Amino acid sequence: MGLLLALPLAARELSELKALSLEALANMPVSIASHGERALDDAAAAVFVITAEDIRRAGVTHVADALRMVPGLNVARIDANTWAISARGFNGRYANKLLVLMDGRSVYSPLFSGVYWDELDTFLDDIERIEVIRGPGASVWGANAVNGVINIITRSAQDTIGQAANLMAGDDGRLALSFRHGAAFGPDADYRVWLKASRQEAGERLSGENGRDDSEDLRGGFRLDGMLSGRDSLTLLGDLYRRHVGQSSQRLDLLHGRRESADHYRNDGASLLGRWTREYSDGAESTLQLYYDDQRHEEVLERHRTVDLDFSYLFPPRGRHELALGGGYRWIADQVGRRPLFFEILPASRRYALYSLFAQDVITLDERWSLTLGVKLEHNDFSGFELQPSVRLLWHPTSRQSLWLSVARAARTPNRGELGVRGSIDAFPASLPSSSRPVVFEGVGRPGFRSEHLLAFEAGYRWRVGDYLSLDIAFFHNEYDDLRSLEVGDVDASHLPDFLILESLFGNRASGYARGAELALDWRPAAAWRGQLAWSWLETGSSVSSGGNPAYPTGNGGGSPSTQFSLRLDHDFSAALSLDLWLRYVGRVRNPDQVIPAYWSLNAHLEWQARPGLRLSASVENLLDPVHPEYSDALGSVLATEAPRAAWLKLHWEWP
Amino acid sequence: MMKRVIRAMARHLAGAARLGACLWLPVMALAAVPDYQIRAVYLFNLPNFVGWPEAAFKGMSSFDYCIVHRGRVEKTLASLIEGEFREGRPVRLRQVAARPDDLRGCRVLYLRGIDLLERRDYLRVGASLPVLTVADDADFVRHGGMMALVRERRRIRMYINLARVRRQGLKMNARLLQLARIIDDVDLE
Repeated sequence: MGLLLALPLAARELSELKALSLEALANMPVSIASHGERALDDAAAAVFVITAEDIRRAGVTHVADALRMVPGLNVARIDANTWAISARGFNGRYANKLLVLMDGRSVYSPLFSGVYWDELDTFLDDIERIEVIRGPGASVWGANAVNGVINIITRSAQDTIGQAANLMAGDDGRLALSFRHGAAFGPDADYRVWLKASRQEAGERLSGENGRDDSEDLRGGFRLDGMLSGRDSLTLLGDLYRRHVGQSSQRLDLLHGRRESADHYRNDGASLLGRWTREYSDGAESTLQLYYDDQRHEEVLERHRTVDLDFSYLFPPRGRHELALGGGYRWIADQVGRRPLFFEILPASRRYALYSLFAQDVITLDERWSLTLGVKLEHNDFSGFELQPSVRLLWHPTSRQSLWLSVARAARTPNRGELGVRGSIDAFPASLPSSSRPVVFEGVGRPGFRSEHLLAFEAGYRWRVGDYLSLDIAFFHNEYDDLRSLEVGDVDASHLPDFLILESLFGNRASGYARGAELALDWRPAAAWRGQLAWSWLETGSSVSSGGNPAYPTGNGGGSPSTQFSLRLDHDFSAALSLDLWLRYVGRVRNPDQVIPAYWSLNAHLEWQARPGLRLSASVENLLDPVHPEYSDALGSVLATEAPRAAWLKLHWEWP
Repeated sequence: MMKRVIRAMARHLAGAARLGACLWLPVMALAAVPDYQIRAVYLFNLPNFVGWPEAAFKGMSSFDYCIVHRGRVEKTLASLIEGEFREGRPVRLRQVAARPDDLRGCRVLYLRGIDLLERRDYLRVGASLPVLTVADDADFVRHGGMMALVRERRRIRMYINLARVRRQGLKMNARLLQLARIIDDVDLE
């Protein structure tokens, strides 16, 4: 839930509204929007919004790809089904400092605090926007909103009336079909249902071999939005999916060390969410949200079910204050299987809960200054209470400029895996000359592992220059404490003479920092031209406290590039034909297992509105390179495939 | 919330107009807009349909909207009036207290974001002035206010207490009244 952002209309679009006749205004349907929304210019945080138009124009075919246009976010594909995505450092397949929400439902896995990005899909044309907040959002969203929050928001059903169908095919073996039907549901409600089927052929590994990362995906969902009365609105959402994914990975074979294996897994899930919002005549608003989520992942033989209840109340503005209060309760039940000598999570089944309270006060100091104080108190069964406060100051030196400063604390709470896991993280094969026996390193989680903590200092500046240019700069310095470390534990010699196990215990002995700057520029020199530039710079470091057994820091296994750059140029040749060129640069990444070289990538996307309701588009991805690697799974198991040059065609058809 | 959708629609509309096609119009009508934007555009358009007594504003150098709180409606209104003129005067947005010298010169007084007691203070002070008082709830027009922008399920509808509007020397255009719901006083002071 949380406080969503409302986009400020550019002057040109506001004038469209201005020009409406009184009759048109009286007939204009009111969207079911939350009162908790604030204008983008009023956010004292580093916010970037990806709009439906951005997604369409850039020819984005997956949610994760859309995130590549956000400054400060590192998006890297490991193979066709595995991603490493993080904000402001700490990237890796198991990146754990990002909170991702889909229409108010948290989609991070409580097993490793990360996201199965490949499972995050929907009818893409119905995404209204993706809000990305870099930096902590814990005082509102709670634990795990450490380095950023990503909010994927789909359109209200009242905006998706009619039918739409997509057919997409690519030369890399991609094929996707999707369909949506939307209609009125009685006089005061609308609904939509959608279905999507897609498949992807396997790509090539870094070595040129078949990556066996093919997939098949079938999913569907619905959304219903309605007014129950003049002041009550209800949203119901549901989805269901099943994926079959292939993966090449390395397994430990105790005679030969690492051995490659190709497997197929079935992952499925379902969710149902209800949200009830009431507006009061004095301007107050309350929201009650309940959802159920059930996911299964065959790779780790895991199933978890979540029930989440959230409530928030926005008080009517009183004097200088706009106060919001809320609370939440989440209950999770899981079962985890065991793959001998690969990994094992203990206990095999557990039920745990998380509850929280938050308060936020937006204080208007005067016409130009405002102060936002927020705090969230959260309790989890693993590390107890976490207090996550934030202070944000916003100043509008003129109506078109804003400057903000913030200090916030956030916690990344322990996940199920860190409390009791045994996982083989590396092995030296017997063929190694120095050793006559294979040595297996096992990462061992243990009770007593605490939350990781962040204290973040941020500053930012936004400037809208006329209607043609807007500029957004953010600076940050993050101090991390109690980061996960691995320390040398016991030596298990019970399997000798076959092999020797060296235990590595999870601890909180690491600390670190990250600092950087991010820039976003949006330039519209003329109605037919648009340029969007994103640039970011990042520096990170970590160390381990001395004393006790030797230890080393372990972020999530992987690194993040220090420099990234993205430039999108959009041009409308006519009302019906437009071209989007997207050039990106991603700096070198040093992962423990491999250095990923810096790369440039260029995508071109041509779109033709053949006639109203019918759109054809063609796209070429990675024009500059036949293939290049984007990342590696530094913790060892997934064998990366390269991002290939690919071309695809898409047909989008809408009819009433 | 729907602003980007509107933006996309507006772009389509501009394109369609260029082609001379009107096929996109029904789509435009479907796009929903957040209530605060609709309210702000209503406020912005009101002067086209309301007549104020000339004498009361003689010598004023600006055309003033008066507000008591800076919320989303007010902020949207602020961007709408940027660079606009009415009756040859620049349009201004002014935050006011419930004092006669503050309210003098106000054309429209939008009362949102305060409690009912405070609102009564504003109405008491404004009762002797030719100022169009506007709020968001139907009760307002029954208890001393002139106009309300009321949410009726999925539309924003104008509620007008015409007797009070006339009593305070204001005139309203028939087109506006045709779209509005005319409400009578409950408690005649």
